[in-house]
Amino acid sequence: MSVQVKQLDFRTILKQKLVLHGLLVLIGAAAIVVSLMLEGTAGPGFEQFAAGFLGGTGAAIGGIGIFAGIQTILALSNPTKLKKEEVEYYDERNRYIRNKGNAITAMVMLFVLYAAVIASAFIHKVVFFTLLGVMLLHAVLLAVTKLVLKARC
Amino acid sequence: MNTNIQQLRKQLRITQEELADAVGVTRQTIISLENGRYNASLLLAHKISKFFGKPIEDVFLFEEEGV
Repeated sequence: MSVQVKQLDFRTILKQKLVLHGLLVLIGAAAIVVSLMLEGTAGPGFEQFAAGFLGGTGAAIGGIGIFAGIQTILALSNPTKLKKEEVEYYDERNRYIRNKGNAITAMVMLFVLYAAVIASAFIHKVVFFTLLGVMLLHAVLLAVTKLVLKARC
Repeated sequence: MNTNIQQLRKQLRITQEELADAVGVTRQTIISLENGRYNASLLLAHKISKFFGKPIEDVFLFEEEGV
């Protein structure tokens, strides 16, 4: 029995991506607002670090959202660019590279987290348990994803 | 996997770009197929063979392993 995968129209995919880019801008803006609120009440310690961190990452995420959104709008309004992006998106070698890259990154991340868990055991109990939790969650997600994919293919 | 794509393409005086456009992939994919760095899916192999009007085994040179 073959598995039929319905291929979405590329314009629809780009429009969905546009919504995602809008969300990035909103998240970035929210992070900046929170950082400004923290800045007002910030003491010299953790709050100041958090304010700086949220401000920086918020600006970066918002910037990425705006840049990617403009690229998507340009592609939607230019048929030549749209066709080029469609070919690149569906190109099977590009998909293979994307999938393999993601799979390798996920496995490397697991080993990096394990190394970090070992190192953190000598540093701080809270850091150790936080990293251990992240590592276990990552491992469970990997296993569940594999099981779901095996059941579907 | 080795292929005859480059020879067949040159016989027909077709550029990599033209072949890529005809089968709906990027030029980089055609380059990788010609260099044997990437193995085409059955669907792409079928499209390319159809484009050249040749049987799939005349375009893609399958080698049985362990024989």
